[in-house]
Amino acid sequence: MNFLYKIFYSSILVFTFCPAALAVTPGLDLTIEMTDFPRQEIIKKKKIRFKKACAKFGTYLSNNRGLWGSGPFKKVTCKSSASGKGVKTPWLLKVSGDSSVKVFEIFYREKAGKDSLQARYSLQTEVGPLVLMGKENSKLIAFYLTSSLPFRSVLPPDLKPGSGQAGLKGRSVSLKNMNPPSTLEVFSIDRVGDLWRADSKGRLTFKEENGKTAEWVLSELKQNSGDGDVLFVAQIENNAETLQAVDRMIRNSSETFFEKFLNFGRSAYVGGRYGVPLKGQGVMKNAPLIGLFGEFRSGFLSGLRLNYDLIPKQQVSDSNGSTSFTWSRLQLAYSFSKIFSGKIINSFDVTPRLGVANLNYEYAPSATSDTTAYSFKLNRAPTVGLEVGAEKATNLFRVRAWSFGSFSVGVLPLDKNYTTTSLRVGLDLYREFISFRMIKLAVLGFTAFESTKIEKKLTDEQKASDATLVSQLQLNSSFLGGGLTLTW
Amino acid sequence: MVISICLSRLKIQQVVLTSAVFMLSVMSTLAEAEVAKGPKRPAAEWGAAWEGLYASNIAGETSPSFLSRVGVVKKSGAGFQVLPLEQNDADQHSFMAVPEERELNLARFANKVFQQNPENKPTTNPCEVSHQAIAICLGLDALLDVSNPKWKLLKFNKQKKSVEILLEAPGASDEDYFKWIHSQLNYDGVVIDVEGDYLLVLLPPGRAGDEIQALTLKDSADKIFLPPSTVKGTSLLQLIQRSGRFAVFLPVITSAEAAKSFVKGSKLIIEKGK
Repeated sequence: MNFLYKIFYSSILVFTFCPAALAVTPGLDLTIEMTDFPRQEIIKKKKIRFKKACAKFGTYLSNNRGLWGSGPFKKVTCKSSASGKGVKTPWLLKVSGDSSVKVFEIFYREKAGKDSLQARYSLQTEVGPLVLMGKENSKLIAFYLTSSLPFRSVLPPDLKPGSGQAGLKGRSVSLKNMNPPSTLEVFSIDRVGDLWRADSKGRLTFKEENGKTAEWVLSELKQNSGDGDVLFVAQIENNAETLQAVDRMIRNSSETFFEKFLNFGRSAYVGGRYGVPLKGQGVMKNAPLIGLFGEFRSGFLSGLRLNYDLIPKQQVSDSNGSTSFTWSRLQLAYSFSKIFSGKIINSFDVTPRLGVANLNYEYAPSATSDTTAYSFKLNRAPTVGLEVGAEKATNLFRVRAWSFGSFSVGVLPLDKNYTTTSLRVGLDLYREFISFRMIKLAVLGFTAFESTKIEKKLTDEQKASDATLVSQLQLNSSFLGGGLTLTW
Repeated sequence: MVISICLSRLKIQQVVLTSAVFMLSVMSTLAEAEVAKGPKRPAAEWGAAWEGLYASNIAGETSPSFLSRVGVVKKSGAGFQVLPLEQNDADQHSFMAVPEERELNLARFANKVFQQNPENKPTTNPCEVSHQAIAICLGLDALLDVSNPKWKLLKFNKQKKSVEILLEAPGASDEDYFKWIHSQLNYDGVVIDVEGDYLLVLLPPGRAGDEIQALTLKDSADKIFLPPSTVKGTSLLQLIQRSGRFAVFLPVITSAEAAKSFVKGSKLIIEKGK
């Protein structure tokens, strides 16, 4: 028989069966076990049975039934007694904690008594574990856990190399600020000692999210994976921001109103900055910018921002006269942001801002000058504005470009004679340099350009007058500076 | 020219050159006739089939007598940094597979330390703490450690439990690691299967084209390195079919010692053909 025939046909056999025979892939059965909770208390308070809650939670962890087709486990068993004894599955999900903290941990049980932690999610809440497992946010917790495992799901067994049409379909989700992963890696996996050995087999690319289904199509699959292989799927590109967003959503949805009230300042940042003028004329020549800012990132005030900016009193004099200027602005804003896994930017935000502005600009001519005195005064003039920003975050820094436009509304008695419009653009750069537990200190570098126009409405009498009247003031300023932010 | 070089290695006298060329053409015609009887398939299909056969042969061996998948590492902090390599670059000199950046990322991801406990997080991924861990995570059977001026080539057995230092020598300055490894081996290809007179050979896919021939080397089956003084040809092989890093050869001129080199693990020198 021709040698080439023999090689070809023996290779087909090898190709079909050998990789499966060689691979020591982990089993995919999971036991969910709840420990350390006084059961009677849970049941008494929430009246939810463990089995029912566990079954719902288990659904989102099993075979592509979680968010965006996540969920790797083949069979999920629920076990309410504590200790881990008698658990025969290779995977164990332990739900533990106390009245104020709930912890979800997935272990791989290599040998009896030798569990290795593979994924963990903890939540500070007084809400009981059965409520967490049985309610809507259980799919978010399951998604967080499976996204932290070495594999998020398993390819359906009907996927054949080269079929072209096959892919992964999953439950569609409309998660605020989140897009489905654009690329998923397909690989086989072996457990060797304490390590996972992963062999890349191909890739899935996101196709569409249509109605209730999100779909990824096979963009690449190497030919050397046979029918017997278990092909795992993972998102290997950085998904830290997605997980942070999921974490925020779980926390928001698992807090009682009272907890939300108590926790409104639990995660936030505050900072201060100082900018020197880059280019300015007249009173703006040496005018520095001093600012304070902060943002709530949790609780019912999440997204709320406060800013206060001040240019302290500046005075310049020359032979014609003297000019003095001071300005301040207090703004309250709420940010709507969209996070995504783009290469150039990671998030985009739109922030409406309401505020009040104070301004005092006075020109007093000298005794020898033939010019006339004039002044512009805004006293707590309400302003309305809109800011748009784009941000890129990496492990080393966070950079944000933004643009802001505002105008004042002359509704207060003192200000109704003025109209102001302002346009600002800027670039902020943050770099964390100290981190202690939950507290992080970052340096801020920024540059900003601002152009403000103030128009004074003239009375008919003033318009008819021959006297020289100043009715418009244009202030242009640009700053370069730095600051510090404290995040917790 | 090439033929005559091969013949000198075989220590056959110039006088038989004419008859050898005649034999070569006759054998070549016969071999092509035999291949013509076989299934007509695209080269890529042959490649996939041979890849499977190769995988099964490698899997069956505790420690193959050649380097099949090699990574390059450098000391970094408490562990090592695995250097990302391009398979295409390695293919120019060598038949070895290399871990590409995507595979490194996958191994790092699969073994990432859970990020919710920053205080307990080790500074080095468990996959990169030791030579052994790297070999396990990336499925390597050899590692080139270029941390020091004297590069070190390490070989692992199949269980990745034992490490043997194969070579310790001053490295090259151009950081063309596979060119350097190839220069130490003193051969180009390896016989990975034998069926009758036909030899299935692993060779550098980037080298030459279909116009190649090969020379089997004496007593080379169980050696990873062949010192130049021991390189001695035993048989001239003609290319029958080639796909990627695999080729099937048929001996056309043999010496009395040739049979010993028609075994798995035997090494070959590849030459440009006529």
